[in-house]
Amino acid sequence: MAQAILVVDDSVTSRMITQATLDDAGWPVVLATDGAQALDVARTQSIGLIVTDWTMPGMDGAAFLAALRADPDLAGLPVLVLSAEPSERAQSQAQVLGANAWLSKTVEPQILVNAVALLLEQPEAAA
Amino acid sequence: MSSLDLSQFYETFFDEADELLVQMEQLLLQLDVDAPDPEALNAIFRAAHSIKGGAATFGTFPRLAETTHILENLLDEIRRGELTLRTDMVDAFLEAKDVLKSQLDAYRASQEPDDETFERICTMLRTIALQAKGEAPEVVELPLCLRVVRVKASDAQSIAEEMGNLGRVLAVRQAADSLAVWMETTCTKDDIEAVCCFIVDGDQLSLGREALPADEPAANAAATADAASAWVETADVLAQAAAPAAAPVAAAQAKASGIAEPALATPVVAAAEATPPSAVSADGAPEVDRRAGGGDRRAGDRRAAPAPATSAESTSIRVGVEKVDQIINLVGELVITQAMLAQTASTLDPVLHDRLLNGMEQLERNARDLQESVMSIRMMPMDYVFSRFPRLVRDLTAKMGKQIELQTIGRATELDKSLIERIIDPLTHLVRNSLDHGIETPEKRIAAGKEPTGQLVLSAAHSGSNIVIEVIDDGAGLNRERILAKARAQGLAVNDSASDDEVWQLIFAPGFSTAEQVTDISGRGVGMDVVRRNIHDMGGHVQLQSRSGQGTTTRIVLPLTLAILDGMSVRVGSETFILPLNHVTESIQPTNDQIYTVAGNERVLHVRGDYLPIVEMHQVFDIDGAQTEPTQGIAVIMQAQERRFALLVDQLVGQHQVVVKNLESNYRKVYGVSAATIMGDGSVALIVDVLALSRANREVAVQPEALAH
Amino acid sequence: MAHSQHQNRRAEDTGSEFLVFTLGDEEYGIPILKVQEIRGYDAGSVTRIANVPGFIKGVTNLRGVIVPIVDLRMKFNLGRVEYNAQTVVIILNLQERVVGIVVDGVSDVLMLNRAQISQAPEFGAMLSAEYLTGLGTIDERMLILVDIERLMTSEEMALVEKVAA
Repeated sequence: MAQAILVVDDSVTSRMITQATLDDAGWPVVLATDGAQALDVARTQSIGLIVTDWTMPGMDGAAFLAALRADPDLAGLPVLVLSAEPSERAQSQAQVLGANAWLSKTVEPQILVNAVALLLEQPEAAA
Repeated sequence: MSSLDLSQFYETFFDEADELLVQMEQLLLQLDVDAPDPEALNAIFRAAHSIKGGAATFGTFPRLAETTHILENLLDEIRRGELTLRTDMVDAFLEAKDVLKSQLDAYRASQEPDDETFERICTMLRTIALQAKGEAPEVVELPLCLRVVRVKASDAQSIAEEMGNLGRVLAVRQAADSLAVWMETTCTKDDIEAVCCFIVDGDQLSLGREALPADEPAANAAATADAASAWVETADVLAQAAAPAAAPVAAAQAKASGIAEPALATPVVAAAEATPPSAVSADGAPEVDRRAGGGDRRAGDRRAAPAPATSAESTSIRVGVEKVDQIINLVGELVITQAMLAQTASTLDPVLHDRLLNGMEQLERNARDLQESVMSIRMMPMDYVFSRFPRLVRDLTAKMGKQIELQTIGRATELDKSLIERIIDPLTHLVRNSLDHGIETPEKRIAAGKEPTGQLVLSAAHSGSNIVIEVIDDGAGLNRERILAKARAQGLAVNDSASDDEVWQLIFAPGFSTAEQVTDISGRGVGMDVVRRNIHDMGGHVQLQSRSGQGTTTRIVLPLTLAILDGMSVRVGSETFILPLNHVTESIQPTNDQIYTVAGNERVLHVRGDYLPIVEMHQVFDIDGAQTEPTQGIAVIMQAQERRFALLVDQLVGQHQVVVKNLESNYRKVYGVSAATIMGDGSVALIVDVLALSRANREVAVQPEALAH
Repeated sequence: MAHSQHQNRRAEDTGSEFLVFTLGDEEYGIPILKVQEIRGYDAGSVTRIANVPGFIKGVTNLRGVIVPIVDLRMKFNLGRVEYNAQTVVIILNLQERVVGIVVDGVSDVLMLNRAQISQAPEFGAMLSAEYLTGLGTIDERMLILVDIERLMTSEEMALVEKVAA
C-alpha cells in the first residue's frame, strides 16, 4: 500500500504548489493546515513522510515536530521542513527537534522531489 | 519529469494574499501601541511571512517579495520584543500594506509595480528599523540588481556568467524561470542590457538598485549560510560570497545528493559546479540525520498511480459568482414551474388525485426550502462593508484634526451580495458627511459641553424582510435655517412652517450642499441626491433624523434581496398586478363617508385619522373595464418612504412569493413598474413601483377646511 | 413553420441566408442569424404595458425570459392588423436583447448572393432607407432586406432606453 506524503502548511498557495509537485512525481498527498490537524492525520492515516511549513498559526512547525517525536508511533517518520523562514535560529531549532531536512521556499520542484525520494528510500539507521 | 507550471497557482496566491492583507490591516488598526497583544503581533507577522513565502516561491514577483521581506523582518523583531512598537511604525505598516496591495494589483494585471513607490516604502521601513535600534540610517548606494523573468535555466546560467565578466557578482538568486543577479560594476545599465539582449528580450529584463537579499551572507560576514537557501542556487554559476565555515564532510556528500542538513554550513560553491541533483545518492549513503524508529518507512511503491490528495482542511470552497447566479436562476425557474404545476393540479378532484396533490404539497415545500437555501448562499455579512470604515475614519480624522470613535453594531447581519456591493458608495458618502460636516472639532465640542471625542455608530439589523442600516453621529446635527436659506437661494419653493422632516428632504435635491467650503473629503458634488437615487434603485429608501446640536441619524432601509419578493396580487380590469407586500399596510373596502374631494378633482381617503391621497390603478395604467367606483373596489393602504396613500384596485387575488424578473434586460424602464414576474399560469404580471405610484397624485397639503364631501 | 438554422455565413461564395416574412402585400428579408425562433401569436399570453406606443403590444414570457412584443404592421401602417391563425411572431436575438415582432406570415428561408442584392432607393414613406440593407431579387420576387438590428434599436421603436451622453 502506497504511503502518502503529509503536507502541512497554512498557506493555500503553498499547499497547492507542493501538492502538485509531489503529485506529479507520483506520490499520494494528504494535506493539513496546521500542526494539530497534521498530528490527527498522522495518527489515523498511513503516512510515509511529512513536509511541513515552520511558521503556522496555532501549533507551529516546532511544536508539531516536538509532538511528533514525542509520540512513539510517529517518532520515526521522516520530516522535511519547507519554509520561507530565513533565520538559522529556526533551522537549528528544527535540527534539535529532529527534523531530517530543511529546504527554503523558492525550492525548485525537482529538488523537493529528490529530497523526498531520498528520505523515503534510506534504510533505517540507528538513531 | 514534467516541470510544473506555477502560473496556474497565481490566482490562488493573489486571492490568498488579498485576504491576508485585509487581516493584516484589521489587526494593525486594533493594535494597542502601548501594550500590543502578542498574538496579534504574531498574526501580523505570519501574514507578511506567508505573502513573502508565496511571492518568493513563484520568483516572478520580486518587488512584492522584497517589500514583504523587509516588513517581515521588522515585524519579527517587534514580536520578539527586540524592537519596541511605536505609533509611527503602525502608520508605516499600514502604508506598507497599501503598497503591497498595489503591487499585488499590478502583478494581477501582469504589470510591474511602480519602482518609485517600492523604493520609497523599502527605505521607509529600513529607516524605521535602523532608527529604532538607535542607529542612524546610512545612505548606502544599493548594488545594481538585474532581474530576468521567463528565462530558461540554461539562458539564466549564461546571463549570470556574463555578469561575472562585467563586474563583481555579489549574489544570485534563481527560481524556476527567473533570475536575479546583484553586482558591483562600472558598466552602465545600457551595457548590461546590451549584453543580455544577446540571450533574452529586453522586456524580460529589469535593472534597478536593490539591497542584497537579506538572507545573503554579507561579503565579510561569518558563514552561517543557511545551507538550504544557499543550495537553492542549483547547479549554476555563482560567484558567491565567501564560502561558509568548514563543514563536516558528510554534509558535502549530502549536498551532492540534494539534501541540506539543517544548520550545517555547506560549502556551496564547489558543489555548485556539480550536476543538478537529479543524480540521486551518487556518492554512497549520505548521512541524513534520521531518528529512525521502528516500523517500515520505505516509500515502497513510490511510482504508484497518483491517488487524489485528500485534504484535511477548512470546510469552505470558492465558487465563481456566475455559478451561484446560475443556480439562483435555475431555482427561480423551478419555483415558477412548480407554481404552474400547482395551479394545474388545483383543478383536479382532490379525492381522486389525493396522492398527486400530496406530492404537490411536498414539492412546494421542497422548492421553497431549496430557494431559501440558495438565496442564503449569496448573503454576505455587513462586516464586509463595515470593515472598510475603521481605516477611513482613522485617516480622515487625522487629516481633519478631530477625534472620533467608530462603533459598529450588527456586523454579522447579512445582505445579498449584489446589494452589499452597491451600498458601499452611498454609505461611504454618508460616513464622510458625518466626519466632515457632522462631528465638530474637539474645541467646538468642548465649548458645546460635549466630550471632545465624537461618536460615530454604524449599525445594521434585520427588520422583517428588510435590512435597516444606520449612520448615527453625535455631532452638530442638520442646520434647519441654513438648509432653508440654501434651498431658497436655489429657487426651491420652501415653506417656513414645514416640518423638520420636510426640510431634511430638501437636502436630497440635486446639487444641494450646505457646506460652507466644499472640502475634498465629502464635497465632491456627488451629493445626497445620488445617494438617494442609488438606494432607491436598490428598492430601498433613506430617511434623515436630526436634532440641532445633538447629532444626525441617517437610516437606510433595503430589501434583503432583489430576487424574490413577497407580493400581493391584485386585479384591475382584466389585468393582474403585483404589489410588494412590505409596502402594504392594510386593505379596506372604502365607504362613501371616507372619501373626500380636494381642490375639485383629487380624492383622499380618511382612514384612522389620516387623509391619504387616492391613487387609482386604472388611471395610472390606462386600463379599460376596471372598477372606477372606489366603494365597489378595494383600497390598499400603501407606504413608500414617508408617504402613505390608498391604491384603488378591483379586487385582491392572493399573496405569494414571486420571482422577480428584470424588465429592462430586453425592454426598458416603464413608469410605475419596477419589475415583472411570471405567474403560475405562465403569464407575465407587472410588479408596481410603489414610490412612483405614491407620487401619482400630487402631494396635497390637506387642510380640513378645504374638504368637501 | 420554419425554424431558425444557424450556419456559418460565407457571403463571398455562397451568399447570405435570409428569413422572408410578409407584412401586408410586401415581402421582407432579415438575416437568419438574428432569428432565434418563430412562434404563433397568442394574444392572451401578452401582458399589456400602459402608456407606451400602440405598436408595442406588451411583454410575454418566453421560457422564463420577459420579452417585449412589437407589431410591425402597426408601426409601419402595413396591411391590415389582424390576429389569426397565420399570424406569426418572430423572436429576434439582437446583441443580447431578445425581442419579438408580429408579422403576417413567414414564407421562406432563402439564400441570396451579391448579384441578387441591389441598393435600396429611398422610399420616403414609413420605412426609411437607413434601415434597409438593399433589395433582393429572386425569381420574380422583390424582397425588402431590412437591417433589423438597427431598426429595432432605433429611437422610433421606443424599445431601448437611450442613455444621456
